Amino acid sequence: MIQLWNWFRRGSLERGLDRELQYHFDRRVGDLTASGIPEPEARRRVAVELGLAQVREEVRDVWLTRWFRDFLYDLRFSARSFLRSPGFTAVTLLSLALGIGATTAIYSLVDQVILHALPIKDPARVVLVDWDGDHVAGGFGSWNLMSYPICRDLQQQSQFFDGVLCRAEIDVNLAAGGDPKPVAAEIVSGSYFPVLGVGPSLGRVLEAEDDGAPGAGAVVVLSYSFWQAQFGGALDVIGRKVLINNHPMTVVGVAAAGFGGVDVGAVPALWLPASMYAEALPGAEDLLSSPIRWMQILARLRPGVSPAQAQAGLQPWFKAWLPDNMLRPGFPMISADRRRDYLGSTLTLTSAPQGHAPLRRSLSEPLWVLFAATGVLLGLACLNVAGLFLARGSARGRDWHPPRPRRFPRPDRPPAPCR
Amino acid sequence: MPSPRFPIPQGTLDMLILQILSLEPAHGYGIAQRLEQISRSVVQVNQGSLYPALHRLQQKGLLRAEWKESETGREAKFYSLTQAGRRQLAFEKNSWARLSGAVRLIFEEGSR
Repeated sequence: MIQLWNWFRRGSLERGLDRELQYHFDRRVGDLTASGIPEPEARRRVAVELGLAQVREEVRDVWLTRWFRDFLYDLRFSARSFLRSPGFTAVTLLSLALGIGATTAIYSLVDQVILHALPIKDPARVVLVDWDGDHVAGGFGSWNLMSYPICRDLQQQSQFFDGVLCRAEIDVNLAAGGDPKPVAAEIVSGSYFPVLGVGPSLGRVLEAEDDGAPGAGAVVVLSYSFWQAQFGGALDVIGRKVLINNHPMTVVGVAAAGFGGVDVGAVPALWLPASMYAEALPGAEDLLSSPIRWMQILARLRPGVSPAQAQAGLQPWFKAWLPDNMLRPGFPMISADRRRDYLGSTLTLTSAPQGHAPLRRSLSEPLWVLFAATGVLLGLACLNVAGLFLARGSARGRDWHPPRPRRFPRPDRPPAPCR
Repeated sequence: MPSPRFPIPQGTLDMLILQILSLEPAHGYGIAQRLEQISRSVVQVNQGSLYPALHRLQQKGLLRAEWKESETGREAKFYSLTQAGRRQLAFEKNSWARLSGAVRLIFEEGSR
């Protein structure tokens, strides 16, 4: 960028041009006086001939194109006027910084909690499967609870789904060669990792075989960040025995970096297969075959199937499934009215590219309101600054005119070669 | 009655400067004098317009400049052609020859 370079060395460029023109001027005057013209007359004539002021201006236009020069002068002018009144500048900057800072902070929260899709394969095809109506069966946990059997049965609906997973958030006591301490965990169906399309960064992830008969899969998969923080990224962590709630389990892998489960509000340290429910949830009954509700169900739609199509298509199957579910051990005895309500239940499918997040559900409205409020705050800050400028302008009084930006060098310097 | 000296056509000043400097390096005043002599006072070059042209050519990399002692013993800024300047001069001579040839042909066609 030769123009910028010229701007910084404009002093030496100017001096060079002055010298050069001075030389021309003196030589011409010398030649004219030698031919008999008196010196004052010769000087006057040469000055007209050369048009020094005009030449200087034209050469400067070669060094820096006009708009670029004007832009730099404007910049310098504003910098100077800001420096002249530091208090005013500080207040202006502070107002704008507050407005912009608050807006950016809230926006990044909105982005993380509401807008950001999960770091998984094709998140747009993921839906949350929920029950609309009277569940009858009891459960534990919160939001969108479903039983393990319905999750397994939904996996047969392959005309709508590429796969169905279920998961629950739990806390377990983990001991890895030291004192046990509580960590957040996610207990998941064997389809969890394959359906999400999340692979291991070390070892393997949980597979369908881990989620067989109760107690069959005494294995855990660590999250990448937990592996880094607690195991120092040790490569020999694979095959290590850890105690989960005092039950020995084997670490078989570390999940892909950046993946922290399907709930942005609860990042698990590790994943367990649902077959280990008895160890993970002490005192739990037979969760794999009872109608107790304790997990959320996410499903991956087949390509080209919309949530509405799948939801409509699933209802006949669900109507037939409901009476079968009543036969499961542990299903409560209910009155005829309650039974009618139960049999009138439907399934609902909602698009969930951001996974399951009760946090999002509870926060999304307040967050948007907060975001709008910070937008208003930014507007107020701008208004405030505009007011400040206005106040400063009127304080200057009527006789104030904006100074014309000066061209370099100072125009008050006399054209040197004419002396 | 038109003036005996007419102003130099737009765009030809650069070419003339390159031509003069292709013979030997010169300072601004020297170039002005030579333009005056060679064109036998037919073409009028505004002395002032020489300097913007020189600086433009220098910025394009067609000329290089250095301060040297001149014939009067005083330091002056001498310009000389760069390699790119020589190429540019050859190119402009060629296109000028083609243009003036074409103009002559058209005039002869009209007077036949």
